[in-house]
Amino acid sequence: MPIAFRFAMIFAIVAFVGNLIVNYMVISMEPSMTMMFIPSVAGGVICLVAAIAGLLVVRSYIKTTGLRVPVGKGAVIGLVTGVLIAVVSSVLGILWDFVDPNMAKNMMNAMMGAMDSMPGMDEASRQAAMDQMMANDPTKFSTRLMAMGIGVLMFGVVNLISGMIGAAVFSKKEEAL
Amino acid sequence: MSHLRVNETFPPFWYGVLVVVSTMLFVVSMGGGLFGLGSDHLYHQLSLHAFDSLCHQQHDRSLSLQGVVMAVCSRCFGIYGSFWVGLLLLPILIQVGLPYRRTHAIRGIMLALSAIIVDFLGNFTGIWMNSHQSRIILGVLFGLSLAWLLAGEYKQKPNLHSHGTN
Repeated sequence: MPIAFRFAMIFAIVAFVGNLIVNYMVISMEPSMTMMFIPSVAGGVICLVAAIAGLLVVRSYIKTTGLRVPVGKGAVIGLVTGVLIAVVSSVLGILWDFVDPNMAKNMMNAMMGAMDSMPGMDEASRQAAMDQMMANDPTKFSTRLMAMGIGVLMFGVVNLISGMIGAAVFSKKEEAL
Repeated sequence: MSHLRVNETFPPFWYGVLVVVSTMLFVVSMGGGLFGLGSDHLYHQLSLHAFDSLCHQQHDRSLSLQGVVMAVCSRCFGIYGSFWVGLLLLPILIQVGLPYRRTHAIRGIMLALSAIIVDFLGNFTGIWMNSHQSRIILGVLFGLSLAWLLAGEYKQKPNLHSHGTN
């Protein structure tokens, strides 16, 4: 399991760094439609990688150890991977506040600026989106704690499934006697 | 003395866990509308939070239930729904004769995933516009192929191991 743990940590750090890069890209851009598009596409890709991390960790585990992984063990590896991704990336996010305390606020301001520049959006939808953004203010510690809790649950569950799939796909079947 | 190990690679316990978590994903993905709750209700807000890092949740690409937009887009809804249905039905169908080979299931997954990527890229580059129907159909194919793999592995004929005689 320590090997799986190590791979899971690598994925957690990759997910955190990926999100960080996307955030700074958005912050440094002029408000535009593209700016709204980048986090949804890049964030989607990063989250998809995080969602199939269970599968990838199981694959790495099998390749490294040469052991056959039963589906149940794949599920456990996936679950641990998902939980680690959620916890480690949240903790790193909190620690990043010491490096750049204004990142979350700048990101929120940038997204609000982008929303203002959207021509096709009616006033009611814009207000609703802004209210939603304010309600989920990422600068609040309670918001981050809740995000971590939901992340643990969701990434845990999704990676549990992807870990099972990884075990089913990559484990070599024993020869039937 | 010989030992028989019945389906030791995929015990029924883990299949049960899989069914429970996929039911949870499917139910939560439909948001508050499933229970007649409004979009301001805490349950709906939590369901939105739950999927916000897994799906873009764009309203114009999502279905509505009782007037409330679901917590996931139509493609993701197709994936979660068909994965759940497939997990429940496919073991029975495999039992009564639906053919299963692991390599075929893996190819099915790759094909469905490729079709989703092509559909996304075609829409992204403006070559065509995808619709709720196309997104749901491709999502359903992907979800079903994943379920086919897992249900098929679960319903594999048990490995009979003989450890020889003493």
